[in-house]
Amino acid sequence: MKSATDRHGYLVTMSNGLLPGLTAEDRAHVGELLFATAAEGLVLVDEQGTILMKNPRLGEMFGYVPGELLGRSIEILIPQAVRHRHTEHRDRYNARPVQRSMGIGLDLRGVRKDGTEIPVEVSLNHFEVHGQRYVMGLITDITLRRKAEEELLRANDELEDRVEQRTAELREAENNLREALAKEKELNMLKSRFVSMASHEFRTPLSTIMGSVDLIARYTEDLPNDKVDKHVARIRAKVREMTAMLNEFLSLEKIDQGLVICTPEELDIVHLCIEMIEELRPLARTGQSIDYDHNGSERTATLDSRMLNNVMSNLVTNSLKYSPEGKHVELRTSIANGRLLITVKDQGIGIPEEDQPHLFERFFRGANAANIQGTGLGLSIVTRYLDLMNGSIGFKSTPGNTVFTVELPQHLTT
Amino acid sequence: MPAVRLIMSSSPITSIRLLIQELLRHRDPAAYADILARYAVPSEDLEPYFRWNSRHYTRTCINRNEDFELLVICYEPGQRTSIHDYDSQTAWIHPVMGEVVEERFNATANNGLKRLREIHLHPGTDDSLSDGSSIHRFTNRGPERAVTLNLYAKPVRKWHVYDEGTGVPVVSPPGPPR
Repeated sequence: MKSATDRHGYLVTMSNGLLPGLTAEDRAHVGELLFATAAEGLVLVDEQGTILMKNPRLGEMFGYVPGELLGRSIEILIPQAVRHRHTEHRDRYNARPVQRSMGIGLDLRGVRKDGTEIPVEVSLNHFEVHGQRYVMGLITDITLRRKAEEELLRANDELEDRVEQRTAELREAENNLREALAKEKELNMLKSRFVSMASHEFRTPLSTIMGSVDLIARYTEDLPNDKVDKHVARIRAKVREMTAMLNEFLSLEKIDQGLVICTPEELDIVHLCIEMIEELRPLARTGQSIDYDHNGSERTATLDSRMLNNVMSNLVTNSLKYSPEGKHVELRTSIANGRLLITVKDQGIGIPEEDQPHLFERFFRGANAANIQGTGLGLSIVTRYLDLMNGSIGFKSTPGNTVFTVELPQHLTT
Repeated sequence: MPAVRLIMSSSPITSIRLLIQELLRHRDPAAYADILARYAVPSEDLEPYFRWNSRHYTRTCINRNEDFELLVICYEPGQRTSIHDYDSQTAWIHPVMGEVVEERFNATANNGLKRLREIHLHPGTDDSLSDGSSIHRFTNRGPERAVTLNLYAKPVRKWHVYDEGTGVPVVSPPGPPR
């Protein structure tokens, strides 16, 4: 390898082995060709930043005609906004010159004659001739590369967006799948609970019915009429019991399917309660009494009478069912500030504390209620009807004192 | 008791509208018996208030205000009220159609009930006048449907249902099964 400074003052390095037989003049010519035809802009400045030499590409790059840049300050190619800082950078470079790329990590920009800016990359080198220092710059217009980078970034962003969107879709699909699976599990659990409840709860009335039917069939001739009446009444009661159980299940099914529509109508709460009590009276055990009291002169409400009747019937029936003989059940209603308040209080067995959080779940039966007839659906239906009427329910229970409280808007609008 | 009592007319009351008018004109429990004694409303006029339910008797309010409450009570054959009492106030039971039997009870010392008497009410009989605190039950023993017009001095707000089984030894057997 050989390094030399040719007659034009720029450094030419070339291998004699690869280009054998070239004279110094030839080599200088090659150097000139390299300089003139380089695809990058080349510029030579002195320590003051005056442009001494530049190749044609530099002029093209910055929109100057040949010869226009020579003798001008290099700062003419620097955007106005950062021009003053460039002077400081140049002074620092001159103080400690090293071969390096300029503005690593910075967004370097040059300014064209027409004022438009272009992104550039600049490499700096220096050399000295006769004690005079020169700085050579290699300037690359990276407009296309920057555009390509930006497009790449945009494509990346788009890709990331799509990946994110797809991930979200997948996550949603996964959640849907999980929910469907959970529903399926719940459905299976409900089915098995229903089968268990039905097989347990239907067995007793069916046995009673069969027993009564057998007796009637076997002793048709001998059985006195009052005995026949007794057995017929027993069959009717048990069939009614089973029908009520099935009705509860069907009610819930209808609510779930959105087939139950709330139809508010004007109601006299007092007579609705009295009629309901009168209907439930036969369910009372020996010595049980039902006490009803309405507080206040306002007694008209606009609610769905069927749903309200079902809610109150369920609560009063439960109170009668879970209270021993001789205990009182209290039903209270009041209307104040646009709200209807219903409380049902009993002196029954109460709801064990550990069962209380599950009380409104379907098919749930309290640990102390296993031997009392029931589907475990009643309170679930109550909450669904209350939802449909914008109502709420709460309770407090200790053995011997259970109070359910229902609150509803006095006038429900659809 | 109002300072000036309105003069009671003796002409028959031939529509529900007139009945309500008369009740509103007097608004005095002392006048209600005389007003109901003039009741000559044809059944058709009352029919819009009839409601029938296979599971229980029905109670339909015709008019209610702070001074009185007028109800139509409809019983299918075999239906009956519970053994009950309500707010302590006077009630007039006017039979409109069919026959209802009123049984009256007394509470006994051992928390039981003792049946005192039985009154058969049908169109043409006198109205039943009862104190709300008296314990009673109405039954339509059939075979026809029955309707009564109940007039309460002050609207009913309380209702207490007694157990039929309580005090079994002293309670007469209830009516026919429902």
